[in-house]
Amino acid sequence: MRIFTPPTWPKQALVLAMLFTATFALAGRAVGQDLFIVEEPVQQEARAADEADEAQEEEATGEDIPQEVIEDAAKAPEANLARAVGEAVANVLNLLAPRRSVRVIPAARAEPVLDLADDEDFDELDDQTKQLIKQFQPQYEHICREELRFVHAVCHLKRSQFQKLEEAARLTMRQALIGTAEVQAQMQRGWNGPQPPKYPDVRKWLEDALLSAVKRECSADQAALYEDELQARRDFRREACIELIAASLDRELVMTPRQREQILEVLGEAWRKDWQQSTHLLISGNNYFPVLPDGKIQKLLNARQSSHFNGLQKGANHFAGHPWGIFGVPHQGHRGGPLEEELEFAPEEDAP
Amino acid sequence: MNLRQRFRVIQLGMLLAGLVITPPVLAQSHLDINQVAANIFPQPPEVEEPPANQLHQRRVARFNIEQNIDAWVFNRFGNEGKAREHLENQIRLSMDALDRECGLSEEQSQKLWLAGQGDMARFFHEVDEIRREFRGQQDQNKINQVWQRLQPLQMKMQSGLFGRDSIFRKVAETTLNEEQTRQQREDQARRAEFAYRASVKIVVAQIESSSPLRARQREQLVELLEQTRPPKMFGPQVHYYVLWQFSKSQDQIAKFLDEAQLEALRPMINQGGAMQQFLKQGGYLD
Repeated sequence: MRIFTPPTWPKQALVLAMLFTATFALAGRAVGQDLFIVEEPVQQEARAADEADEAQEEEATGEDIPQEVIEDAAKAPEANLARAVGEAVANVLNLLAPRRSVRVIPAARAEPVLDLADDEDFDELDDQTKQLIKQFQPQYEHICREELRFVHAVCHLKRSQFQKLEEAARLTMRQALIGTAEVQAQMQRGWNGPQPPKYPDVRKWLEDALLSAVKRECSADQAALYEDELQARRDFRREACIELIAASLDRELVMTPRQREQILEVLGEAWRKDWQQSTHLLISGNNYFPVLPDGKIQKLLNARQSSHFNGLQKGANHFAGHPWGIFGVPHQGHRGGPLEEELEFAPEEDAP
Repeated sequence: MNLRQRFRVIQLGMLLAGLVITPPVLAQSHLDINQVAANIFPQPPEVEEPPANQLHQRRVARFNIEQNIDAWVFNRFGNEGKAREHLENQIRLSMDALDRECGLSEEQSQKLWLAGQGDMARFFHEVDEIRREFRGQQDQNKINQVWQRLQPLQMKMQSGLFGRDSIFRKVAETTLNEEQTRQQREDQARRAEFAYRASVKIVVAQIESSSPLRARQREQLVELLEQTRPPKMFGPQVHYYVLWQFSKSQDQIAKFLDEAQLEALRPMINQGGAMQQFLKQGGYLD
């Protein structure tokens, strides 16, 4: 008696393909949400050491998983499904490819500073903008986190000061993130107006917000330290931008050493902040220059150079490049808890 | 219910589950299967096609090949005529510079002018060949091919036709006398130093996008990178050369950056380390 008839192959293939797609999509979601992290051997060693320390600490203090983490996890069944499927895929891949010296491991609890999911403003945005926010969020998170770490390194903050600065940075970066995503969405839909919408200057927003918060929340000495560092950074960016423009002009005009020096001087005197927006184009060799002080530059050039200079492309550039720079290295998000838990703070009573 | 019927029920259930689960999950997922694989087994960064070019590539499908070859290669200038004018100006400006430094004779000037024209002829011949080969093509595969063929020409246009491997440079080396060659090399070295310093500074400013530096650390990093050897040529990817140098210097960098900064810069250091072959292919390294 026949008790089993195998199904026809197209149906079976369809079912398998769908399950395979769903599995990979869930695994992808798990990796995309930093529920899993790919570790190289060095990172594996560092993590093992950290975990050993944490285990010792927990044993000593009797700390357990905080209740709110369990509650958060229970609220996100979709993330749990992704986590479960991702874990299964990761385990299979770890078994199949041990020689690659990488491990796919579940990520520790990470607490994004810029998680907008519960934000009222976020709900009102269109889907395209929301998607862009999700895309940019890890990089903005990284920028915010590293700038806060920098302020702490410079000013040796107390915990209470840090918390206030973090709040200020978070508010500003949320606005910058939403602003950037909105402009990007508008540009993707096509812009026909006379002036394209302006992208927020994310770094400047963050630096200004933090400086203002440091002045408000910290001592005058601490504020002076951060202000000096910021000024030095901005001076350096300006200098780097001017030298890049001068070197790009030299490549076109084949100038003398004297002319190069003079061009540097002229650019320094006529400096405009919006020149920085052309940096990413000049670096990539497009030689699309910002609006320069043509008259002053032409006085330094001979007739042939001057004529060639006139033919160069110049104009305002509205996209200053992404705030994470030209190299486009994706930040895979950070592992571990909030930054506050990583830092050592000055004692509340002793710090200025 | 016999086993066959049970199997049918299970099969139907799986089919429905697949239909229900797959579309929303795919819609919510930020990554496709390739990205999942890339995340799980990270590969060296793809550096041969910068993002701007990838964008271009995606746009290809909307364009007619023949009408747009010029736009892709000569986009900086508007059309081929203006590009020719620009390149001839560059030959004259390079000759002016040589004349200033070494004092060219009439004969030397003529040879150099012809050499520059030779570089231009070679370049435009390559563009013409591609135009002929792909004339009237609408096939998507051909469109992708034309982009791959044009990319090196576009890079060449961006980095200049009269650089290291040009006829102009070779003729200059054989035409100039010993003293003129010495002076020309000195001039080139000064120009390269100027350009390299600018590249180092702008790359350090970009590095700070991943991890802000204190003023003293910035000075040390600039000083360290300025001491490295400049690239063999200055083209649109020169910043990757500086990043490669940055990656090579990580032991020295570790002396003045703290652990958190190094950790934040790790992806960039890894990216720079993977650049060697790409830089060799581009002529930046021997």
